[in-house]
Amino acid sequence: MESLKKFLIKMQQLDRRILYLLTALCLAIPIIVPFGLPIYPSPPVEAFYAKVEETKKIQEDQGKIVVIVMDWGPSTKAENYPQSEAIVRHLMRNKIKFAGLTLIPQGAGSLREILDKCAKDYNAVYGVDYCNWGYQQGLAIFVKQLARDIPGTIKKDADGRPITSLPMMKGVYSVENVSMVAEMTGLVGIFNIWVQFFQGGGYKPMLGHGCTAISIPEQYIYWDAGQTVGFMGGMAGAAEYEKLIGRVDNASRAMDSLTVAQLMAIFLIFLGNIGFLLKRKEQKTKSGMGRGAKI
Amino acid sequence: MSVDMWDIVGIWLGAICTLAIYSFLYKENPFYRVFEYMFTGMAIGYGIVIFWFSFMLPQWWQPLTGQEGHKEFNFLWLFPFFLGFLYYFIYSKKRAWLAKIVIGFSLGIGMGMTFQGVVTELMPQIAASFKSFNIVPMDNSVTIWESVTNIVFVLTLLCVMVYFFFSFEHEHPVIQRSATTGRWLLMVSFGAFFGSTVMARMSLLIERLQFLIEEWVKKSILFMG
Repeated sequence: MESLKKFLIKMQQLDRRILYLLTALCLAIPIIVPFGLPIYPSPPVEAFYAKVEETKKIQEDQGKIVVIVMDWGPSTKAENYPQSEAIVRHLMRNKIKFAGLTLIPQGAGSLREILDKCAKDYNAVYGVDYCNWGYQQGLAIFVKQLARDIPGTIKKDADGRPITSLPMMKGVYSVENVSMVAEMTGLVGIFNIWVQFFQGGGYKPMLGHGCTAISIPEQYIYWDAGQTVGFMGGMAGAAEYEKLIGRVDNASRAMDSLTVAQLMAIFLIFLGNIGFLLKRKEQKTKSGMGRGAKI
Repeated sequence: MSVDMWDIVGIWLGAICTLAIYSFLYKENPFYRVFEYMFTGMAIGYGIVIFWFSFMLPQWWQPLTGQEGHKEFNFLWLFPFFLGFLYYFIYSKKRAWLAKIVIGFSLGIGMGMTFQGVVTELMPQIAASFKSFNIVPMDNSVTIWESVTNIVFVLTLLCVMVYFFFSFEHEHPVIQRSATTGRWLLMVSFGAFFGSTVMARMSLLIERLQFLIEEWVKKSILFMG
């Protein structure tokens, strides 16, 4: 018992590099030897999926399109890439017309890559089933203007073609011709722009969000207030969405590693706290301080 | 699965860059510094190129010079250019007042939009915080579990708001206890944020390890074998 106590106290001084190596091993081993833990979609992801399914009927009845916004770069690629890919696949599989867009320069390359990659798998035709509005500058001012006049604001697509020449853009003039905006980002303040400004004439399209895991607690506020119809939280959210669309892509394959890493983190925090409490008790005993004294 | 030579070159470059950055975990080293500065430079250069070709060229230069479907030179497009250029006078001690004109414009636009944004974003959230405490549902509008969560929500909201009331001293025992409860509930939320942050950082590392194992190692073996 005494040796266990000493070991736990000594663990407080453990070299960080050993922890880094342990973390890397915990993450790498499930990638090499996957054990296929089940994935259970959470309520926000299920709600998001259901609303995307609804846009098919809205498209047939009212001719509205979906707008996918990919406001992320390499720094949040791990979480936002599988989210973006999952939702693009869902839209292309269901033949729901949509436009891709990004408000940051780093998003332009990923937007094109995902659209081109998924279009090959579903034989989606550019200009008929989907289009790429590319990088658009202006943030809040751009979104405000876009709500009023889409062809006047966008003018040309990512390849320089006039927007009005694309068959799917016929009849798309303003926010009232958009059924849903699905915004994927890891940046602070970008998502709020769509909540605040993409509306007009008393009409607000449905808003879905793909966020990094850091923003998950904050996203529940928007979901609870009815400002979003659902959201994907981090890589786990992307894996849940992949489960709903019946695919096993990178996010689903990463869930084993993520689970092991989280369990390892919980175990180390638990161990660290016990060591800390034992050390504090030892210091109290050594200094002869009474109960209730603060260190 | 066949692997192209140029794919392998790209994958090896990506793997070297990844390992160079991760070498910092062992200790600070020049290898890491070189690649860090390279990434910073590439990101800025990429951003400038995308900004010019995706925005400035089609939205400003072509309308100004009458190219690509625009009829003729339109000198009105010089006006926003000069307005934006005035920002650079911030570096001049004598003429910094010129920059203040455009800064004033920007501030005015920003403030106007902020007023609209705050109302459209926060008002629905405030309205949604008025939740039903209906413990004994008369018409199945709220289940018992929803009632419990609603009560917890409202109590949390009130206690945290009391904690942030600094305009008066927290002398009354009810106010004191509410503020203390609010502080503990804030810590619970910080724990939730921290846990999510850990998950986010793990996800970033997992993606890189997937690249190193599934792309770099496996495809290199395929290429060589």
